[in-house]
Amino acid sequence: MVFQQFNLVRRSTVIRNVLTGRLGYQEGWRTYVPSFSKEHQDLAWRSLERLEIAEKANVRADTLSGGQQQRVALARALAQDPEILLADEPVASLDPETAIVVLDYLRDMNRRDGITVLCSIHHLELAKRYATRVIAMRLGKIVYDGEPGELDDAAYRRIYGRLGYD
Amino acid sequence: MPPTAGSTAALAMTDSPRRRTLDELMAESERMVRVQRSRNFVIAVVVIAIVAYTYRKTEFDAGALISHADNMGRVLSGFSHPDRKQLPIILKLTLETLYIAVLGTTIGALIAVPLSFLGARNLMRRNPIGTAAYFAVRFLMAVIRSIPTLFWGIMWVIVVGIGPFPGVLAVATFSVGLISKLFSEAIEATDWGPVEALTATGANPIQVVVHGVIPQVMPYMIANILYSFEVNVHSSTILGYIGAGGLGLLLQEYIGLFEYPQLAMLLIVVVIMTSTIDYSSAAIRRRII
Repeated sequence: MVFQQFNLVRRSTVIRNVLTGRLGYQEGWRTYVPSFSKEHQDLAWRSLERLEIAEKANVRADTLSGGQQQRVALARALAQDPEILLADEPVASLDPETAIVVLDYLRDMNRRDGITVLCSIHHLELAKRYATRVIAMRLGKIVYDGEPGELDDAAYRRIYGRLGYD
Repeated sequence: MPPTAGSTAALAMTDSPRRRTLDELMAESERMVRVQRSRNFVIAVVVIAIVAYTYRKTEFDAGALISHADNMGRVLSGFSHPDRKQLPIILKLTLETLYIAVLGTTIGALIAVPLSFLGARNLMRRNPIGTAAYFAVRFLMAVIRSIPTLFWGIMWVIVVGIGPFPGVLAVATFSVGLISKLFSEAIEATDWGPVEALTATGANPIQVVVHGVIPQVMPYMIANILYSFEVNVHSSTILGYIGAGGLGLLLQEYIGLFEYPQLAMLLIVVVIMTSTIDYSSAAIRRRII
């Protein structure tokens, strides 16, 4: 799971945040203390490297910029070795450039690791650029479900048209 | 060819901060964890040493708890047959205790709430006069709070004589210190964005406080006054010990005369009263924040 506000443990180091991605796989006495086996540590470091943020592994999470924090959050999600990744507006608090960087990593995780990515997003342009299938919801009802390429002006009006006009 | 200024600058840039390898980073991470563990170990040793020292200095004697268990038994045996004949006088003084807490908290709050604004750093430390007032108020609050309610009670008994009145004054005095500390900290935690927005509309500082700060801190004011009321109910039960009204007088009498069944009755009433007040006050505080 990836969140709009990253939801890192702000006072912990980056690597410790990523290691929490392994908690679900821990067994025995280690589940009760902040300690991880060598395999878990290696996986966490590989995730950090994959997101190209290993340089920052030993600093506190809250010293990073928003884009860097979201990459750490992605590394945490990747360390979890998931089949499906839920991304809840992962780029809503990021600037347009950083948003593209983060979405590139998400697409890379989808293509290289075969992780299904379900991503909620407000920017139609980004959805068209990255998604393989777009489902649009309005007032709790699905108003569009199909290829991103077929998202035209009519579809846009159906999704974002002024409320009360239809 | 001699190096030009440009080429040395370029060279310096290429070999300045080298990207560290993963191995280096992992080693650094392990080192940090080790340093943290040894630091925690040192802290633990120091804390244990301090506790051991205080254990010796306070003549702590766990054995006495067992060898004198019969004394405890005598007091507790009162609870097997609490003296219900004492209920009328106990309830009467319970009410008096509550009256002291209610009036004392109210008077304290009336003084403390305006003071809190003068003791809030974010509002006051903007010019020399404000800063001076801030430090004066903070100092006053610290002095008031450093003297326990019981001592305030002794002071007021000396001034106005015995009875519930000095109790009210003692509770009010302590409340001023408590409420103004809590509430001024709530004011300091206000969201500054709306304050900036109101300042941008041309509002003067008083208008900013009235329209931007007070609506934000209102629930905290009520919560802090309620919390102070809880504390005051607790301290009012003991004020009678020094002649400042309420249940304390009975408490002193029962303990002095070894009347444990009567003492048990009194404690039962106190527990019911204070826990009811704590619970309802906490419930109200949860709802308004």
